Amino acid sequence: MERLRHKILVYDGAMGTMLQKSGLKLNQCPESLNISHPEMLIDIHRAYVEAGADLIQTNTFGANRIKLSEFGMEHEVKRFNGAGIQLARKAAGRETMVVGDIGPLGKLIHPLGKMTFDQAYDVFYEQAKVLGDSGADLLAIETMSDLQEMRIALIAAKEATGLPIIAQMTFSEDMRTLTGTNPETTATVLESLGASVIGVNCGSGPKNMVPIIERMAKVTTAFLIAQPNAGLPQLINGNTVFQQTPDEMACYVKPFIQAGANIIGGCCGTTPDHIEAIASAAHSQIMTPKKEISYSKLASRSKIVCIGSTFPTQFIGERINPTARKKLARSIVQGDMSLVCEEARGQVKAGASILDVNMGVPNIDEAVVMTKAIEEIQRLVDVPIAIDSTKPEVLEAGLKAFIGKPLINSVNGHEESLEHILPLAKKYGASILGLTLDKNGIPRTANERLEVARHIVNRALKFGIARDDIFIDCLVLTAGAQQSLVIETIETLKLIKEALGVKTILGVSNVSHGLPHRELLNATYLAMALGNGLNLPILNPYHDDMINTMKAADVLNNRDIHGQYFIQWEPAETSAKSSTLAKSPKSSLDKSEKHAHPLFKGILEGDKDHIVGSIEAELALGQKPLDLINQYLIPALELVGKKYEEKIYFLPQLMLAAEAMKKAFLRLKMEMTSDRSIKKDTIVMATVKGDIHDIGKNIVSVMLENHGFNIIDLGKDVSTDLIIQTAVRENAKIIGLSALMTTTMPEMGRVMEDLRVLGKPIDVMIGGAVVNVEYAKSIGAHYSHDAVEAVALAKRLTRKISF
Amino acid sequence: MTQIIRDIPLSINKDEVLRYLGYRKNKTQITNHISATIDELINESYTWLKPQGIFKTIPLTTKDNKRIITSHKNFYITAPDVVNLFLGSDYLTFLAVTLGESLDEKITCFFDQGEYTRATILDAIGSDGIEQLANKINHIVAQEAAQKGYQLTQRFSPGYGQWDITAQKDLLDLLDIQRIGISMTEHYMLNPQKSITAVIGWKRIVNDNHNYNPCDKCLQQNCEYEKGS
Repeated sequence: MERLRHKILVYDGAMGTMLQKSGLKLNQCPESLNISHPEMLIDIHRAYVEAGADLIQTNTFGANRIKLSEFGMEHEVKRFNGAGIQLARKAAGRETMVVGDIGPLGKLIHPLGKMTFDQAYDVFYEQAKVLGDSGADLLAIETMSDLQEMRIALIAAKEATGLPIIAQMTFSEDMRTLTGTNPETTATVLESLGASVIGVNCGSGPKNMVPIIERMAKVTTAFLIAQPNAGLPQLINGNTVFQQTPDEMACYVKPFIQAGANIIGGCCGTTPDHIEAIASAAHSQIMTPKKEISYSKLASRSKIVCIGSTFPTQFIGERINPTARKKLARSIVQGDMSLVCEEARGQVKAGASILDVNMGVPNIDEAVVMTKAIEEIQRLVDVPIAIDSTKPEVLEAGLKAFIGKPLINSVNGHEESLEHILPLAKKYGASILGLTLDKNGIPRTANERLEVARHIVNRALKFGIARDDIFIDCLVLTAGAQQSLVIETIETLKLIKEALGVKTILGVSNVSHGLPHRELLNATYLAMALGNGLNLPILNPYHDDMINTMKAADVLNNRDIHGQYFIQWEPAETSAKSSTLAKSPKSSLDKSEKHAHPLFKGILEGDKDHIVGSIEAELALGQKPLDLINQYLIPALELVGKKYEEKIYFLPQLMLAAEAMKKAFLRLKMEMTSDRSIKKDTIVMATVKGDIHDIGKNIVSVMLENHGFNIIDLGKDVSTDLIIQTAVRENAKIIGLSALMTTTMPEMGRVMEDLRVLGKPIDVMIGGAVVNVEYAKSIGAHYSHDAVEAVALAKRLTRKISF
Repeated sequence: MTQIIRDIPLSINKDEVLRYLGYRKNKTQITNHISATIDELINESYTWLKPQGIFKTIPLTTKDNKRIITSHKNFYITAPDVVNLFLGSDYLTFLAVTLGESLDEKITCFFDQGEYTRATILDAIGSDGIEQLANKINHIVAQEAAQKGYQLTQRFSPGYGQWDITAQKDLLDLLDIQRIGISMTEHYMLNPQKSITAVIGWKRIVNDNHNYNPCDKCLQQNCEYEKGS
């Protein structure tokens, strides 16, 4: 590892594709060659060493119990891995490092698949242990596409050997792994789990990998590795061929190093020729110095949250906590997670970038419930979690389940707490929240609290937890009970920042317990704390005053540079006020300006919340319902249709206009019930038998209804008999049918035929994905391409009949 | 071996949702309100998306240029464009994916409540979701294939091109899809609506522009493993 500080190192190239070229069959276990064909392996290793590889990787990618069991060789873990190391060692030069290779299990880990954390851990542990005991210099975990599987492998390998670990994941072209993890998150989580080298392998060619390395380098100071395939495979004369030549690949060495890579090698399709070209290109390159990173990071499975003085203040949502919340507590006891999920979504929507999760309800298996809660929450929202418990077994359950870099809430200065919880944080790569209290309770003065904090920080650093991963909670006391101590907390904040250089946390709303005007006290105290260096408040995201204060303080504390977030942000309350003001109905009487009329605009803009108000205003002025419909509503709807056909509007706008129209009609209908003279034409709508895709039909129904037709919608999977019976009974002018597929389309012909047999010449209009005008003609029906066309068609057809 | 995968995280792509809704860049004038509604629904959608997939890889027993026969109860394909696509494949992976019933129910519910905009947006979200899910399974299979020296063909589904939709039934039987809650109507339509079945071929990767032979550099004489001698 020391060598990496001074020099770019070269890794070897592909093993799998090399073995296949040497005659490996698909149904043959590649790792069994370590025993049956040792010379072949030594040759490949030696070729890479001669080509200039500083590190060579053993032929043990699939040598785990699960993968080997596919060949009935699950008992060969020890032999295959041990031999793998020996063969590489034989080929290695004096300086060459032998890397024990670990690949994915080939089985999906919970919640994707059935394999549990502990089962997967055992399998990885077994393999890593053999590789370590057999004398590997390092271990590499590679080609991982699920962050959870990578976490488990990394934790197991670390526990089994203590060797430096190279951790590499595979990314798709959208720069995310299969389970949605981006480069920044990958780097953050793997760094926190103690990987010595982090990077990317396989997937695609070098071109797509450069930006991935670049993005990783922005958030981590760990060493980085890139092992691309030899380009993307292409189909040539029916054969798939890797396209990139050694020279082409060597062209990427410089960009990789500039992006921040420290080790470069190759994956599928690369050969010793490629590695030789890479080695000679890397030879003359100087490594890019690591950027200093002064902020803290937490991560979910798919994104990171940065905490530090150069970022806007983030906060932890406190509401997933059953203490003093009876309803939530009851639902948790009943095993019902719906309230928890609702709180998770609501808080994230309100701006929480981290969620605290506390399952402290008496008489439940808290560890099991914590697991369940975290699994549900991370399915719904993508924010990091603060696992809130003081019980090590509950914390450990949460740490296993949460896929990312969480915060442990909490540890304190008490020896028992430090001893049990710090190792968990180290093992699972979590940050810690340290409370400034110990077995004697909360010290009164700032200086005493600083000493507790110092003890926690020193112990944590000794366990190998990074300073940036330590957050200290200075503890807020209630102004109502201990007023003189409230300011002591602010003093503590300042002291801890200066003396220890760690991040600080505060559960602000505690300050106002038992006092009136709590929101005012909370917001004011929050402003004071932020001004004195508070990094991460814990609060109730639904309290707008606190959120507003935080945004404003970011500008005043010079965190929100140029106020760029503040300028764009609209405070929750005021925005609602201004929009109601802006949209309140105007009493415009100017009919020559039809397009500016509130009813016309209401439909055109799909403003369903205010259209009824506008109608009331018009009716109050003595306007006749029919005039309103004909002068404003229908023309506006027609303009909407036109804009849709011109693609200036798209489907949501068409539907919004329809919603507004429906509300307008419903209101006007109340005025027109006495007026029997308006007779609407009836259309029977249905999606044909055997067909269940009815969204298109639904959209057409909505549009027709808005244009004044009486719609009877029979739904989906409707029999020919029912369609015809209804149409006849209701004296329908038109039948509208939809079908999605070629197998259901003939049902339309059947309807036509039955109508002919019965002698009922009702017009039929049809539509759907595979339906076209030719088919319509062939069965004697009318065709429309979309909902707007369907309206025009229906109008034409009904006019024809009535004349 | 049949593999089942559940709860694979999807991250809905707004651009794709817009595309499904008929949005045209530089043409359609989207409002902030609609954009915000789409964002909101994407966030909420994860409550109703219950992604599940099942897949199975089986060898081909016969492959000429007229038909493809697998080892599974003689499941065979004769549609010329499919045969052409899978020509030269050694294996076929069969897959089925679904987003589950809750999504269908929610879309219907929105329609019934007169929330047409939300209904259509959620439908578009489902379209992106199911496509992504199929791509993810594809990716898993591709990795397995790459490790074994294979490259995947394009994914192909019954009902497309010349492949008759009736093949759906054989595919469903082969995959035992009740296990992930998919059923089929008498007209070969999948239920829930956001479901996909497909087949992918495995073709051997050939590295023909770098004919590397590890034995070229080896000094050992008369080796029984030497290649090309």
